[in-house]
Amino acid sequence: MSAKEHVERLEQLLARVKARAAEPRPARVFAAPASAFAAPEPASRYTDDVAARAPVTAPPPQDLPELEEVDGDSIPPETVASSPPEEVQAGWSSPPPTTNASTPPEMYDDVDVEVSAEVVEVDIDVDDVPRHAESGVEPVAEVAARSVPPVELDAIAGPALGDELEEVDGEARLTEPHDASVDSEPTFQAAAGEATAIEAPVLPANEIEEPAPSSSRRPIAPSTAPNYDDVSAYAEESSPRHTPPPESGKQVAAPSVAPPRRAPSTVPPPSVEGHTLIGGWREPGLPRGAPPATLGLEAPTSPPGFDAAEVATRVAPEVTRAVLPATAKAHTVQGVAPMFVPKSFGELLDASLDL
Amino acid sequence: MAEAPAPFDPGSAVTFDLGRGAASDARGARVVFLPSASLEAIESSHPDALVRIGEELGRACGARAAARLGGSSGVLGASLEAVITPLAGELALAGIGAVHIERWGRALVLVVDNPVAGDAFIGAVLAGALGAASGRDLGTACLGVEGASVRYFVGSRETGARVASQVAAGESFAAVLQGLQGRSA
Repeated sequence: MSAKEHVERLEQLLARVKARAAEPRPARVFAAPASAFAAPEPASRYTDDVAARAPVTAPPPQDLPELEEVDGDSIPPETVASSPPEEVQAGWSSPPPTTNASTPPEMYDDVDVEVSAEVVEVDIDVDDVPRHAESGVEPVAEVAARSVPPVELDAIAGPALGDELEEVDGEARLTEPHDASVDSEPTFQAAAGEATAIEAPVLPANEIEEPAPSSSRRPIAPSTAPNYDDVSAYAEESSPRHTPPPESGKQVAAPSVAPPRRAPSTVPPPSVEGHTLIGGWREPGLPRGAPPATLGLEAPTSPPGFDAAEVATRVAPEVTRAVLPATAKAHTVQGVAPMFVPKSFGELLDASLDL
Repeated sequence: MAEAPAPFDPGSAVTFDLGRGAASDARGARVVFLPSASLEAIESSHPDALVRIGEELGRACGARAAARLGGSSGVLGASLEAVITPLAGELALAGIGAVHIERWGRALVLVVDNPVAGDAFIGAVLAGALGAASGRDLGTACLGVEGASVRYFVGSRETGARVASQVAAGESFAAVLQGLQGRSA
C-alpha cells in the first residue's frame, strides 16, 4: 500500500468517525462495538478493496492538514485519528475542562454562578427511555432477555472472524442487522467452534461488564444471589465471607482447594490496619441469630438464694433514728465558784503583785 | 460593814508664800508648778528624764495620801475606797488627772481619765504614788487607751514588762489579764 492510498484510507476513516459521533449514542456500552458491524456504512475497515466501499455521507474533511507525499519507505505516515477531532462533541466522553485555557482566570472572579435549589421533577416512563440515553440507564425488563454476545471479543481482536463474515455475506455483517430501536432485540450468533464463548450472566443495567482476566478463576458476577441463611453456602466459598478485607495492596488469591471448615472458633479475626471489628463479626458457620461467640468465659452463675430481680431494683438505705428529746436538763450544779473579794487595798495589791 | 471613807479635804494642800515667792504642799515641801507643754518638750528631748520626774511627782502624791491614812500600814489595811480617795485627791491636786481603781480578778488596774501627758510619764507617776503609799516595789504597764482613759496594770516589774510586750503584740488587755490569772492559777 502506498502512502497516498494509506492517507486516503485514513481520511475515510476519519470521516466515518465523525459520522458516528454525530449519530445518537447507544445505551449499552458493550453494544457500541457491535454497532460497528451493523453500521449503515457498508464499508469495512478490514477490506483492502477501496472501491467496494459505499459512498460516505459525511462531508469530506476539509480542515485536515495536507499530508505531504513522501516516500513511504523512509517516513511513517501520520495517524490522523490518534487524537479526537475537534469537531466531535457528542461522542467524546472526556470530561469537560474545569477551566478554559483561553479565558484568563481573572474573568472568573466576577462571574456570578447561579445555584438553583429548585427541585425539578422529571417524570420518566420506563418504556420511553431512549436508547441514546446515558450508559447504564436502561429498562430493567430488557436486562433479563439480553445476553452478551460472545462473538464481539474476537471480532475486535482479529480478522479471522471478519474473514468468516465476509464469506457469509461478502460484507462484515451479522446474521441479523442491528436495530437501534428500543423494541427490537438484536441477537448475536457466534461462529460455530471458532469464537470463544464466555458465558456471562445477566448483569444489571448499571454495571459494566469487565473482561475476565485469564488468570482468575473467580467468576465476574455470582450466578445467584448469596444466601446468608444457608450454612452450606460457606462450605463452597473460596474464601470466608466474614473475614476482614485484605490489606491494601494485596489481593486475596483464590485458593485452589476450599479451605477446611472452621472449627467453632471463639476468637474474632484480628483487626486490620488498626480497625476494630465492632459488632460486625459473626462466627462463620453459625446461623443468623446464634448467640455471639464468647471468649471462652462463662457467665458466672448466681449464688443460691440470690434473686436477680432484687438486684435489678434500685437499692435504697433504710434509716433508723433514735427518738430523743429536744431539750433536757442533764446537769446539776454543786457549790459556788470561788471569787476573789479583797478585803483591803493591801490584799488586792498583794494579789496583783503575785500575778 | 466597812466604814465609809472620809471625804478628801483638799484644804491647805498647797500654800503660796508671796513674800518669799514659794509654794509648798501640806507637808511643807516646796512645789513647782510647770506648764504641761514643758512636759511635752522634755518627753521629745529627754524621755527618760520625763519618766524620772513622773516617778518623783508620784512619790510625793502617794506620801501625802498615805499620811492621810496613817502611813503605809494604814494604806494596806484600808479598803480600796479608803485608799483611792486620798490618792486620787492628791493626784488631782498635782494636775495628773482623775484616777480610779478597777479590779480584774486578782489584777489591780488603775484607770486615769484626762491624763496630762503621755503614757510613760503617767505610768511613772502611778508607780511612784502606789509604791510610796504601800511601801511596795512595783511597776505599771500601759494596757491601752480607750477614749480619754488610759488603763495601767499594777504589779511586779517583770509581770509589767510581760504585759506590755503582749499588749504591744496586739493582744487585748482583757486577754492579757485573763492569761495572767490563768497562768498563776
